[in-house]
Amino acid sequence: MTDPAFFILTALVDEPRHGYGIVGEVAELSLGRVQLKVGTLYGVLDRLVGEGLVELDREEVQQGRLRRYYRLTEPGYQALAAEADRQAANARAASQRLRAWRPANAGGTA
Amino acid sequence: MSVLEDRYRSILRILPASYRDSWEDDMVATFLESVRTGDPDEDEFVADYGRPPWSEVASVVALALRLRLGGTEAPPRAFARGEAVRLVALIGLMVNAVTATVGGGVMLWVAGRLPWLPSPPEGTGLAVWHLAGLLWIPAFAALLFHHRQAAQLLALGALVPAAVISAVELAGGAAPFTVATWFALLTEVLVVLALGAFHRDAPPAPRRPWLIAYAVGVAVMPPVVFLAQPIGGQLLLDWAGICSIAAVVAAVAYLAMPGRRSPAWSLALALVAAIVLAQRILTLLDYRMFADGPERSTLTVLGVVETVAVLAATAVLAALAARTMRELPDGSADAGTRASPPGENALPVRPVKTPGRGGSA
Repeated sequence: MTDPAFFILTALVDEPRHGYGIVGEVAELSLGRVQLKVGTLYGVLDRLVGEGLVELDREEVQQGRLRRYYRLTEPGYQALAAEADRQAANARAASQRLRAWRPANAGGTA
Repeated sequence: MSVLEDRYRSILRILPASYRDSWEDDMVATFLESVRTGDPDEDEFVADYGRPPWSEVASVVALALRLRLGGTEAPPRAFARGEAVRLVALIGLMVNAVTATVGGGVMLWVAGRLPWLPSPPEGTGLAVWHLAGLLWIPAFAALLFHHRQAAQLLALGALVPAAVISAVELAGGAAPFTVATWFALLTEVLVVLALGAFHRDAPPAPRRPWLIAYAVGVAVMPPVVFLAQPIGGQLLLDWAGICSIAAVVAAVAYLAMPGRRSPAWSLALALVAAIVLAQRILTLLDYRMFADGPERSTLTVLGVVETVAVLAATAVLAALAARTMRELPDGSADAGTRASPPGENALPVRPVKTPGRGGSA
């Protein structure tokens, strides 16, 4: 799963959001590292909808424009949970290695 | 509709129509919200005079490439189209890598680094752009070893110096204007552009067959170039002629193997044959400008024969490609999940009237 897909799914966990809402939430969640461009957002969104991980929640008219809100589906929650577990396991493995490496590097007993 | 919205919609036209039907209005709404500053005067100014930022344009171009030149998850026709362009890029990259390898050998020969070969004739020049041209070799290798962005950058690194030096030589009068030189540059530009089809969703190029093809090319090219030298003071075969013969041989071999044909290969070979045909026809102009006497007539007659042969090959391949591509599903039937409007049963809609928190979780 790519970073944008991961963050878009994460942005939709707590509530349905519209396109610009997703852009803002992803920027916040990633501490500014992932600044989604519109072409990127809708490329990923199209794929997530195609895979059944995201679906349309509702449409609203705001200032004369139609706003579509998207939400996670049940498979979307499962896919995100699986990916989060995978990334957490990766991070744990790296952290353990780093903890073991530090004393040796500092001249300890390894 | 504001000028900014109009400009953004005109950029979105590069996306496939079915995709736009589904997503265009939503993309426009999101884009317009993203440029809003909160200051009414500034927002009005941006709406009337603003242009979409380059980063937004680039993201739409990248999306259009992924949709039109499909990757592994695209509908069969878009995937075949993507594969065809990727094959054209690979063929072009391989030819450039082979030429660069043989050219590198010639450079070593000229520099006296290959003492086991007889000395080259006096006055053989060592053009600087040959050095940059060597970048086609790592570009080809990078693509086969799945570093597509490195391949694109290296190919650009090989192209730009060649273009600049050719332009400088032409402007300074150091080199005459030949169609052959400029068409060679154009084909290099096409290769760099075609490499764009190796996007994130594209399957990697199979390494082994392309490495074998490269090795065969390196072995075959020196004798072919040797044969293309003037015989008895008369040139019979130029680069366009070599490409024409190669294209016709490839087309005949491909058409003789019905079991190994695919829509993507048919389209790729048709595209390559069409490029070779254009090169053959346009470089006939060089004969008129630079050859004289009997050499001009012989070259022109041979050139016309080559043109007819490549034209026939292009026509057959194009007809085959058009027929087989039409037979592939274009994905519009199942675009409901990917590319048709929610209001038309594309995305399953659960009406939630209350703004704010929807009860999805």
